[in-house]
Amino acid sequence: MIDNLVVGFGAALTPENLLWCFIGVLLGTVIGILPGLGSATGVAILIPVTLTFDPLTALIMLAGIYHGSQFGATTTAILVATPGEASSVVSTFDGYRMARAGRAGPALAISALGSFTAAFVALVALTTVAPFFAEIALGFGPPELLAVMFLGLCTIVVFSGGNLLLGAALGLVGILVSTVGVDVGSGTPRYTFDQVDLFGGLPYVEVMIGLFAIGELLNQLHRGMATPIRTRFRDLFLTKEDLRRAAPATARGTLVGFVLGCLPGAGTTLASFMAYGAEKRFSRNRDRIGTGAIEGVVAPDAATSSGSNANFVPTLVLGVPGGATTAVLLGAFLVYGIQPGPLLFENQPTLVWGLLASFFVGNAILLLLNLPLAPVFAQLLRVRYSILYPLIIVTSLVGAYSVKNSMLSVWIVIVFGFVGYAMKRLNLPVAPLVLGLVIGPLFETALVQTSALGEGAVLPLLASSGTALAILGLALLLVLGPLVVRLVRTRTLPTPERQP
Amino acid sequence: MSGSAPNTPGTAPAPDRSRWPMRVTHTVLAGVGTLFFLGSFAYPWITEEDGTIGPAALPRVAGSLLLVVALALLWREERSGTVLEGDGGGEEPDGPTGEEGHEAPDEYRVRRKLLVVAVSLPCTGLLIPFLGMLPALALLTLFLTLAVERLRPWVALTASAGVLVVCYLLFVVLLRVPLPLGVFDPALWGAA
Amino acid sequence: MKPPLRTALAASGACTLLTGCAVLNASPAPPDDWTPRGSVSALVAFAPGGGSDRSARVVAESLNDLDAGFDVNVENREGGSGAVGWATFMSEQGNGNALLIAETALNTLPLLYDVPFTYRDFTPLTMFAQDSRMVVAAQDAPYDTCEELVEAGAQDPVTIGSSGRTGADSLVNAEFEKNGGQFSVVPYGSTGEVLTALMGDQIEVAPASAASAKPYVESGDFKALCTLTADRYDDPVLGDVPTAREQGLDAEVTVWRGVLAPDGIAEVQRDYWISAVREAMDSETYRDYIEDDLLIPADLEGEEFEEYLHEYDEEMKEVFR
Repeated sequence: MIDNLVVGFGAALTPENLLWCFIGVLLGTVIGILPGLGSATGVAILIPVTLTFDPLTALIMLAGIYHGSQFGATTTAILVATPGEASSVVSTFDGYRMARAGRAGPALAISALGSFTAAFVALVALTTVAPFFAEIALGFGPPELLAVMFLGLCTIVVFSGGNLLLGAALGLVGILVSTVGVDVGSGTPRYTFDQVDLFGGLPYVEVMIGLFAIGELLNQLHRGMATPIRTRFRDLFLTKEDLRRAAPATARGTLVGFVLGCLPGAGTTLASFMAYGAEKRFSRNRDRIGTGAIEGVVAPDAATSSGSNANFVPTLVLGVPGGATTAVLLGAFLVYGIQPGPLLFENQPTLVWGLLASFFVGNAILLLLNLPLAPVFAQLLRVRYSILYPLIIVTSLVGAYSVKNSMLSVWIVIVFGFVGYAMKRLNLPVAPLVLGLVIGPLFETALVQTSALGEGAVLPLLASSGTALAILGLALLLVLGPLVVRLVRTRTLPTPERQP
Repeated sequence: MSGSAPNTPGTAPAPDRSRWPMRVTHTVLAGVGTLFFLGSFAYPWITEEDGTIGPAALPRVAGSLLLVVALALLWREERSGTVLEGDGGGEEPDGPTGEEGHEAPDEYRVRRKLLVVAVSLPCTGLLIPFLGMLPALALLTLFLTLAVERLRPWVALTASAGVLVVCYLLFVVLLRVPLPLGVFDPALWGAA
Repeated sequence: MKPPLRTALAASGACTLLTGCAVLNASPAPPDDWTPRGSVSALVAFAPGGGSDRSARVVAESLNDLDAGFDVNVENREGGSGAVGWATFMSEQGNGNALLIAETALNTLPLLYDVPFTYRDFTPLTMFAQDSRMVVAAQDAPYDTCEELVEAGAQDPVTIGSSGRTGADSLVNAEFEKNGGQFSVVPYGSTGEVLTALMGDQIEVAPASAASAKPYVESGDFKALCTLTADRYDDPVLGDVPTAREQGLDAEVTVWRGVLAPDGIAEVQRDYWISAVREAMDSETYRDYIEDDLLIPADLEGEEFEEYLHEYDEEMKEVFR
């Protein structure tokens, strides 16, 4: 193991590879910052550029882009509530509120630190016990995934604040909207009104740019525009108290992210939402989550980061993609004439271990790049909003267009911008909608697959799987737990006060 | 409801006028549920070839559930009015204390500006096929900074030109996104 | 929220149409020495990372290596099993600067679903490769050949994975069912997912392309039951695997990959691209691609390709009747 890593670092730490890793991370950060352009698109676009490289160098650069864009996406989510990727939507909840309260610097810094820590832990696990986790992940068939998706849907409870019914309603809207397009199971076009553009469904990246970026922008305009935020020098940096509070949240986020990242098809977006939900349940400061608490920033970021590294467990061990971006990276393997699969570690040790070593290097570069930059990025908020908001509009629209090179995306952003604005004015929670939208297709896929396995029946298969039952039990606890707690609390305390 | 935040500080019961938007919202939710529920009857409940769960199942179940939930919301709204306590939880955009600074809002001016920005978005969308993506967006920036925000001309011009150049470098040169070119498409002029 | 969206769509559509007409009116018929200039888009109707995307990138790279004064960019327009991308490509009518890298599903999709196009709405240029499938199962599966598999399926339905209802996997199922086997089909998003499911013992057998199945056969994770090719693969690992026909089944699956152009392009433009692709297929990139991915080289051009598509479509009508 150690020998292999030494070989790997030897391969990754040549000046040339180091340089390209750095360039990849930098490019990735920029791509991540742009709304809409996610890591998958970024990697796909830049594959042709790397064709002339040595395969290891090329893969190192692409992996750098992958890590960089995961992180860059949270930067704008925190600063201007414009998530660069679906997985950074959660960062807008507490991160943006921290930024509006003048603590953008610490929010960005803790996000960088948390991401790095999570990545480091996930990578150590990846290099030591990857085959073990891959084995477990394989045991997750459609029934188990169905249970996981159900658990994911149940976190809507956490995201709907006090108004459970309203949260449930919006979650259902999300699920319903996600059924537009060609159905995963039978291939039937649903609710498409013969509009071929709708066959692919309403793309949630664009919906999210609209809901969050444009919606928040119109909301700010409605409220008479935010004044530039000037922060005191000492507020730019993390305090000891911040670190103390962030540590357990990082640990929880890392765990949630790693587990979900290992499962093929679950994805980092779900991981970030579930990590946030876990904080709201289990954090010592759970009452403050949602008002700009540092735990609410670091936990989802840690989950995204460890999840995106754990995605490589199925990719490297089994040769099957763990997520959209790793699917593209697998495609890149093929372009360089490397056949991914179970023999990859045996046939290409230098390549695989070099790549793994470069993950460590890339994440370290990311930290070195972003920790000092956090206070600098925070200065962006000093720019007057009258200049800032046209820039947000422009990048949102161009970014949305580049997702699919389609004008439809631009219109979706505009329309959902108005929807997001209306929801903000009516105080409707946006998170359940997004959650429904993301999990809807995953849930339905698992449902159809389970029913195909059970020859039409779903429940017998669910009941016969211990894992699935355990997950379902967890989901039940998640839904019923707070109801019980609230019942007890309203009995004992007539006027529950939110202030801690 | 947060629209009425300035005159109702937090915990007081919602005034009557803040109830109709909620009623409309719940009705819209019920409508969405009904539409998807009815629409699902165009598709089979079970895929015939192999007996698996068909394309109608999820929208029909979720649609009817949404209808029920929305009706419950409406009923609760009629009975007890808008529930303010803990409403929206983490999604409360103002924050309980509303400590962030805002320029003194001049209601009329603010509303008009919001309307202008809102209208300029679809207008830009319509212009893109003609002018091309980047020119249309640069024009939007110029319009917003110069006409709406009344910034000094050189600031507005610099911002717009900056947007044009940075987006061009990022999206066209680096990422090679085939942005729409509109009348600036060389294919339109090169053939002559 | 739908009506404004749709009016907006209609409006933007009208605008595109207007500018489109302007292009048509402004440009006279292309001259006899027409060559493409600047950026040429090569549209793929599937996501990056899959087989179609890979083939498109190979074609694009080989064409760019000709240094003929144009630059081919691969554009992914995934969604709806290809429907979104192909319908989009219809709007390129008459554009000599646009290419489409397509495959079998262009025939099968319109047969199964109500989509606004068929393969006849595009100009066939060159078919550059043919692919097939093989069938793999876990080492401890109770059958060693496809014949035994079909027999087992006739007794009690066998669970088989499929990466799509319009792709090659669905043809494999159709062929086996023609021979009397019964299968319960579990749908997945890609061949990668199907193979994962087989590894996790969620399904019993999996159809897969030779290139993606080979590493698992080599590592001993799976055993190969048969190939659905006409002849055995010329490959050290897969060379021993018999074809379904050798095992006495009347089953063969062929899928094509080809380059098409929009409808209504000029003769000179069609001829240009046909000869450009022919030249590009001489490249090392292309030959490596055929070899690495265990494809069957093909070079049907123009009318021959069109004829092939007609015949193929008739066959598919039989299969999906």
